Amino acid sequence: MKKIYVKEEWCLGCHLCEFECAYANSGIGNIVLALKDKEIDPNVKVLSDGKITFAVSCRHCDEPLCISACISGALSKDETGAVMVDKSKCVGCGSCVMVCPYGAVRITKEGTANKCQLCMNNTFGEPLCVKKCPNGAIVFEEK
Amino acid sequence: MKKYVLIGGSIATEGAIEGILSADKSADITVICGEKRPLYSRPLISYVLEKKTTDEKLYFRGEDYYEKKGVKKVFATAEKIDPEKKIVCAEGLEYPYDELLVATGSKPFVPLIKGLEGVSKKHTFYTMDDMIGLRGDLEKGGKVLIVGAGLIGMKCAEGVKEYGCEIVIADMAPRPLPAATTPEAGRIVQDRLSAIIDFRLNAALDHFDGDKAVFASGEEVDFDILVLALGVRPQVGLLKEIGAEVNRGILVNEKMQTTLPHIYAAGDVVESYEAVSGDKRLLQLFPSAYLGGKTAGKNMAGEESLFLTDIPMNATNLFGIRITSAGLFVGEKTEVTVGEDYRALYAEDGVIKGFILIGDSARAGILTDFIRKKRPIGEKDKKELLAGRDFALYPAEERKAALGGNYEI
Amino acid sequence: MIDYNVAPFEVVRDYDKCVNCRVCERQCSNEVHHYEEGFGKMISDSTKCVDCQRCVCLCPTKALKILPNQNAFRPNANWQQKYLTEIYKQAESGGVLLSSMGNPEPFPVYFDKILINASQVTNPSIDPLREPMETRVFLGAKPQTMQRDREGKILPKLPPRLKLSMPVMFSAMSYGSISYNAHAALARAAEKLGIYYNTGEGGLHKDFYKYSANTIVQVASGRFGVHKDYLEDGAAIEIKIGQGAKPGIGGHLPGAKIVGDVSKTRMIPEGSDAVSPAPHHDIYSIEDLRQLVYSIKEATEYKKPVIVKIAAVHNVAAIASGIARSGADIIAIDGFRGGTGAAPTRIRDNVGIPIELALGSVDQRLREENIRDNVSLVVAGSIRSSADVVKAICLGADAVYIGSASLVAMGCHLCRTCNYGKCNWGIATQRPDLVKRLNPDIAAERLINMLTAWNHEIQEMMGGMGINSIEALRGNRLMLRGVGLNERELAVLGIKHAGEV
Repeated sequence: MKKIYVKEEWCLGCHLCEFECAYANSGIGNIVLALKDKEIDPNVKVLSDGKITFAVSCRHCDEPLCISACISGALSKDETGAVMVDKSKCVGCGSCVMVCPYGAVRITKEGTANKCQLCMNNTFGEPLCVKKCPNGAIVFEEK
Repeated sequence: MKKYVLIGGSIATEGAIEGILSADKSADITVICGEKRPLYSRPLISYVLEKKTTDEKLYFRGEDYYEKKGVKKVFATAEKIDPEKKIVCAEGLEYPYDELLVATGSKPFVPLIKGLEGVSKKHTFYTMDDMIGLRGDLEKGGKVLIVGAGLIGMKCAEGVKEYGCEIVIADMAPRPLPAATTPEAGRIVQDRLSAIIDFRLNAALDHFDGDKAVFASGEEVDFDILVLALGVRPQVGLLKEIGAEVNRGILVNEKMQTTLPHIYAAGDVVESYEAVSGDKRLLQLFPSAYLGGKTAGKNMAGEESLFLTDIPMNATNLFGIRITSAGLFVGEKTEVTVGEDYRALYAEDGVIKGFILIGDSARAGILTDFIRKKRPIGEKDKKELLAGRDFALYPAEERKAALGGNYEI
Repeated sequence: MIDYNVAPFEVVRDYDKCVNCRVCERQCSNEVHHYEEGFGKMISDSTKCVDCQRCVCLCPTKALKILPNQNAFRPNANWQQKYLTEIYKQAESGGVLLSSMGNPEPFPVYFDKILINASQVTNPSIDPLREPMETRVFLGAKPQTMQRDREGKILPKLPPRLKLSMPVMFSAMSYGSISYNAHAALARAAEKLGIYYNTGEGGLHKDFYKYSANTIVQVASGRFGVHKDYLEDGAAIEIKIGQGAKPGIGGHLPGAKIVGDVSKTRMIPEGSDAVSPAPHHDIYSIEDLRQLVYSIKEATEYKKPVIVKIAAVHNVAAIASGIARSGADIIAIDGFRGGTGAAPTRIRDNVGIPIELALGSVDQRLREENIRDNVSLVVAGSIRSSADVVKAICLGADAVYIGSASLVAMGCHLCRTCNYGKCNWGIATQRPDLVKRLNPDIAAERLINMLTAWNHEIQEMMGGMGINSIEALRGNRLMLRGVGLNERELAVLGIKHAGEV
């Protein structure tokens, strides 16, 4: 399946992906409206080891630990192999957070799990973090 | 066509079905389950009681899970296994198998206490039926005594709170969550909840006098509804009587095989390999059941698979307090307090053995992975890990490969 | 101390649109932007802005624009503000003013005063989408005679040549003046396009030896990074005598930039200044030049063409004539608008002549002396578009070099502060965090895109003129007409005025 991969040697640490992600998943059609005066909680996070920066989001593992640990069935794989979240089922226990080795699942302020769903449930059609990365550091491809 | 019989109808069984089907598409699978319900998620019952989710959503894979997977289900109690003939007897019928999984789970422990039979409304809190029964009583109101301040008791209390009932929780231990947390963390939970819950700690139950509990100290507690949450015991009988090696649970190897040929076991009923200690342990956890079941399933279908990364872990949200832990609380402790949050890490010989986080649990899975993989950790990095800059602490090559898609951590 | 200087630009932020994402802050190496906790918003220090447009391009909400500072000195047609601020700078520092990229002053751009012909009725134009259209060019000496063996068969002995898929090459830009990633992008694009890039004076990084079939290696007055493998690696060797942006002077790469691989590649110690002398100290005459040309040919077994690159200066035609007799295979001429990583401002803005005029006179002179076929002519110095390429070829060039245009394709916005070493686009810098900003995968693709587009346009223009081979366009001045040019200019260019038959 097509997945998001990160080429950390090209990550500039500009954090644009975080804002584009927040916009993409805001459900608001205008980027200013979506981001202005809001604290963002994106599905991709730019981290750093002090020397190098890299954007981390869900890897959509072949055998996802988050799904193995999910007690509510809120996390599941769709037919393409992407790991999706059904917020209506989630009880916010945090088991997924406890097991995800990428730190890519989180419990949002609403108390439910959230993570990168490859922009499949918004109108952008392709992951916006990939499209807007200024340096090709995030790619969406088949491997 | 290989015949698979799975005894038990919960998470280990689901894992086994997934494992078998991944390796054997034409498998003939029969599930024999004493609890007359489709597959549901037991850890969800407290959330249903709490009205955070609904009865329907307990069937977390859909009510037609077995049908979707092409699995035959038999609602019957398995009474006997004949390992020679490779047959399971259940309510008068015989079910032949090529490979058998015993995932009989456990049962709430109900001690023999004087006067228990005289209590008018008493419940355990383990199955969906338990929850429905308790809910029926709670809707009429009253004062609730929960005996046992472990995870089940505490989660039950959270549900009970929704009904506006007064709650007393009693435990012999000196703090709540004695097994799932460290003394420091348990105390924090106790301090934060003592305004809502009347804790009676270091309290050994002596006997009941009608709807009144009398403790060894002489202290008495009146109640309308009693919940016994004193832990669970593996149901090992089926295998014990035919000579499988059994300790507190059924002993299995890393393939989830019992000591008897063609018989596997998984879930709450087993004592299996635990990666932190390297010993066999009774883990009784949701992910352990699923992944253990899956491992068993693969091996049953002829695909070799080892389960070497199982460790104790727990994540829960208790009255808004998030508690996340994994591994064992052994070795040298490093702790930090960030605002209201408490975080502690336990390490031995430069390897993380366990952690517990009260509050923010962001990226806790990275800590869990450090424990599972026994990755070495520098002294300085321990605080960094607790501070949350954790992903960066993976070895650079491993991280790069993982992000670049050449490797799964 | 009073700061006499005035910020040349003003950063204008639309606060209605700014979402405080701080991308501008993270992306500005000049530290113009920062988030002011007290205000709860971003503020900008315009005095540090060089107008490179990085923040403008990266701002996700397009909240930024950069305008010329409207603050005005009292208008004076003679003492323009520029002269005043330059004096303030020198009065403060006592130093020579430095500038980067090409001469920005309002001298005439002759390419913009030349128009191209097209066919109507009497000779049909050609549709390049339907019919073959040849833009391939061979550079090198063209033999005057044919030799045959005893049986009368033609002896296929040709002098060494360069084969270009289209008449454009990337100019010499050294590793040091531009980044590793910029070099990587140029090399990859040259290989993909079937053209050449040029190492410049900085030697050749070992990683790029694999592009040898598309590499021109340069030998300049400093001789940095020159060794046997280097010469042998090039498809051609270029002796650099001069550069359009700074004719008559040498180069100076400060020791601070001679670090790591740059030092290794240049073969000089870390931290030592790389000073290229103004002249080659072994070349004081055409005869001396001939010696170097033949030394190089001898060292490379006469397998590689030798290019001699000079700046366009007043007596360029006579010098070219000498070079054409020196044994060189190709003459490269760099006009006064050519770019540079750093040059003294006064030199850059006041020395040299326009490439159009230099080309006109050189081609004319070589033809008159009947030595035009001894050499190919490559011209440089601000080729900005495919139309400039076509005009240069009509004026007599075999091919062109592009430098600035290739940098622009990679993201350069001609802020002309390469000499600061803080290029926000990752091009003219050695700072690792900035170099990283230029992903060669992207940059190479952009270069390829640009030149693919140019090639289509060249074919369109050729087709319009009814010409299907670029060779037939070379020196075809009848295809050009001048507008608004005086008699002398037209004479030097060798073209008629528009409207003349």
